[in-house]
Amino acid sequence: MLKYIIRRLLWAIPVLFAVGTVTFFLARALPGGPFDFAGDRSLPESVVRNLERKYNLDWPLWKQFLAYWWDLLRGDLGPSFRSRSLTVNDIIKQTFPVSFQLGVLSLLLGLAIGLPAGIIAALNHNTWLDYTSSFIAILGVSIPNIVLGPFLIWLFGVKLGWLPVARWGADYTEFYLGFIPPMTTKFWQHAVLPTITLGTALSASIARLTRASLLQVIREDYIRTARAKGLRERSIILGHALKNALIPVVTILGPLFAAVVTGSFITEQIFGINGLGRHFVQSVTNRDYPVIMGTALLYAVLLIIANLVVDVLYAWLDPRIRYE
Amino acid sequence: MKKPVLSIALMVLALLLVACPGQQQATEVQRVVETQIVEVTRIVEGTPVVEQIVVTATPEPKGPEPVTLNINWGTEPPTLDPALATDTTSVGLIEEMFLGLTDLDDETMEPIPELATEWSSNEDNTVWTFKMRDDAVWVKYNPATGEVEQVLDDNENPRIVTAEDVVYGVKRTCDPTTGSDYSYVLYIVKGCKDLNTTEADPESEEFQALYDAVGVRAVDEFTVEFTLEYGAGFFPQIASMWIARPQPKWIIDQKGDRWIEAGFIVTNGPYTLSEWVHGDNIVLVKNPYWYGWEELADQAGNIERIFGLMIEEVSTEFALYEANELDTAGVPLEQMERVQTDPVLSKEYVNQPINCTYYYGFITQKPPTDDVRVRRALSMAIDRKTLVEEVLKGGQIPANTFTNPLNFGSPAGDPEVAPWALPEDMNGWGYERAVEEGRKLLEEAGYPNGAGLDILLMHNVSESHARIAEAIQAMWKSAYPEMNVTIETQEWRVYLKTIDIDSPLEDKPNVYRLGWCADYPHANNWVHEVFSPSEGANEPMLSADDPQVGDLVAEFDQTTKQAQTASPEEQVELYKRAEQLLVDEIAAIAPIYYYTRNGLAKPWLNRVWGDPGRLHIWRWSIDVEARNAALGQ
Repeated sequence: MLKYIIRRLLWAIPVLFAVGTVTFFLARALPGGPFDFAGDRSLPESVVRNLERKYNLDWPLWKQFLAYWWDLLRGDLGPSFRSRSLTVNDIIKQTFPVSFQLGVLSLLLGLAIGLPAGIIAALNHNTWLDYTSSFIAILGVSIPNIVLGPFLIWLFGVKLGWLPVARWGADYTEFYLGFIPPMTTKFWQHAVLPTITLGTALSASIARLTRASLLQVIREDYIRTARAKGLRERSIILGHALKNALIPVVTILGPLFAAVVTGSFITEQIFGINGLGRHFVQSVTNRDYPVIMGTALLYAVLLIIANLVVDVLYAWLDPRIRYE
Repeated sequence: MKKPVLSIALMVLALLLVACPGQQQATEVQRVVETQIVEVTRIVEGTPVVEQIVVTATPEPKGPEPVTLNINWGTEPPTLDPALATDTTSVGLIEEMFLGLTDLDDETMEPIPELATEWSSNEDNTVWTFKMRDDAVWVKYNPATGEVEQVLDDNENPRIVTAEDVVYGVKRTCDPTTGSDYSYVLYIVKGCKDLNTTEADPESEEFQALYDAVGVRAVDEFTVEFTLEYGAGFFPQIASMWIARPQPKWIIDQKGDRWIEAGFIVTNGPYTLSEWVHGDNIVLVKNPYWYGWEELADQAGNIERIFGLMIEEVSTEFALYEANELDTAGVPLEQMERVQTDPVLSKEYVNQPINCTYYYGFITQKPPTDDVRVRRALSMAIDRKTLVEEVLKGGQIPANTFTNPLNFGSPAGDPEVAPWALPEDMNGWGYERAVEEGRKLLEEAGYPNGAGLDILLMHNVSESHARIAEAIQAMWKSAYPEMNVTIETQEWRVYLKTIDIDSPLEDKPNVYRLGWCADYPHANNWVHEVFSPSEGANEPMLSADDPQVGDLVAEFDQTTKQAQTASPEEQVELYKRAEQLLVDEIAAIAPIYYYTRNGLAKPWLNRVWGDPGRLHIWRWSIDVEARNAALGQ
């Protein structure tokens, strides 16, 4: 197993290089450069040239490319073109922990609701319980965050005044590179609404997947065998069916994890949370090449790690799977 | 029996483990002895190192809480460096922290004294001399004591803002290695363009010679003199801009691009920076050493601390306002009706014009908009009154000129300029008569009823632009039923590239949308800098070789150049002529509306509704008792 993990990690290097290379050239293939315009107005060529010179964008592309990787190997992700006094390292350090906290909380909420709901629906196939939970799941998937978020803000923040309207409750200076939030009332109060907003949609998809997968598994021969042996229904489901049914769920959890902890643009935007999600989107709009590269590489790293964890979990969920 | 339950528990645990690489208990901060963790960023050979310093102090008998204004800046400011700023947020913050030679009056937009107490020019307005006050000081916030302190020089004397600081600021903006986006605005200063466009090595003597040749010099400690490329009566307006402000050389040399971070930055305005959590909040505190608190005491307010958020979503800003977490905010479009009818909110609501114009431009070299009659007919068939009242609903004002009325030299609302754009109650033709005239023009041009007329309208992706484009499409279709209007959208930067004058004609639409906001409130910043065929951005591709309107284009070019050196009275006439040419006779653009801002302010806040880039928060005040009473504190 250890050998397998090491091999996978070594494989990650060419994958990351490929992601970085493709992103590098794709970003530069986008029409328009980072400094052509200030707001609405186009800048004179001389001014654009000064700016490009300052950030070495006047170098030939191959040289910029090599310089980028050289800096990256030394842990330097480069300057931000938009925030003139910040580096990409600064941006990731400050915003990634916030997105990570929100993402993990939402995913946990999604699992806490989604798994039981899916199981209950599958076990009560074609009964009112099934229909109700399917209906709620479809509702959860189809109500977009952009509707749910403002509604929750209006109800709990403005009308009832129970919870804060916006922002994240952790003091940004307290967890510079730590991902564990301070366990204060303030933190949890701020976390409730965004976590529900982001977690609802996740729980709905997890519930649907769990239900479908469990329904398939309980029709398998070995379940029938277990029943024939006279095992109790409870231990059939929990001991034999559920574990196998979870394989597809775990499969999507990997990429889902990587996606949610790197920030959700809409949820963070609605709640005014200083997360990473905004930088994924706005860096492209701004043609902020180093930020585009930094966020893409970070996402790739997380995806690789999450998928590796999933693969390791497979071996434990299904004893037939062995890695050598 | 127990095992499956255990497996689920294990799995959740595994997830938790992935999620949380350790546990940590946070404790409530004790109030008895104040322990503050102060982050100090130190740059060691260019690499920032963050140290946590624990500052312990015996609590002093605490004075009253500082009077705090809660405001939303709307986005993370890209910079606080006066040489680099281009956007309203950065400019707005810089305005609170850095003084200009001149300031602009909130109502009249006339230059008024700030650092400069008086100014004068030679006969042809090419040499300007500013006499500065001698009591403006550089200050910085000390995080260890929580106080604003004067900055001392090497001899332990307080640093005073001098003419040399202004000279350095101007030259730094012109210096190509600074990379200032707006450096071109200072090309009016002699030698600035030569320096800014040089290819010479910054270490070379040639570069130094160009640097020294920039037309700004300190005559004595508190007198600064500018030599211009050409005479400009509006130079005092330019002198109010952020890019021409004094900058602290000693800090910039020491800290480089990071000099604007909290802990480094030194400022000289009414407020200074105490904390900047990038992307989340920015805190300014009162500079008690600013001369204005005493000298301008009759205008000064009582705000001691400005807590600024960076919420981008307008509806969230509005919710924060409703929850009393902001003292002033904007109004999202979907809330306009509620705000205007609500008994409480309607009293807090202010609609105020701002210095921006929304317009459609015509590509004058692309058929069929290469025909001036088509351009005029299209402009005439925009029902500006209905658009602002039924579609936009934000109190915008129908526009008949490009130059916004808040600028010197703007003939806005003058029925001698494109009267067909104005509704009857503004002394214009009204829409019906305009459409009639438009039909005649189209018939002359060979498109009776719009038959055979195919127009491509393009705007950047945005819901509000789409709403306007669809409304105008409908207006055109109802005025000229047989014409064909296609709307296309592009992502912002792609769009700007497409309509740039140097892009290929076949990629361009017939009609594009843009807005313009003033850098300084003078018509030169509008008609000349945007549309001058020889010196402006000129997106409509105006050319003196145009077979139909070439002569008029040449006249337009001449008029705006002539206006730069003319007397104020002559300027008014010349700019009016320029607008007649631009909007009516050449019809290079169809001005649509002048922007307004829809704002809210809590009853306890007494604020100035000036230029959004010049909030002048030092003039605002908060009635603390009223606020506490309203919030039940």
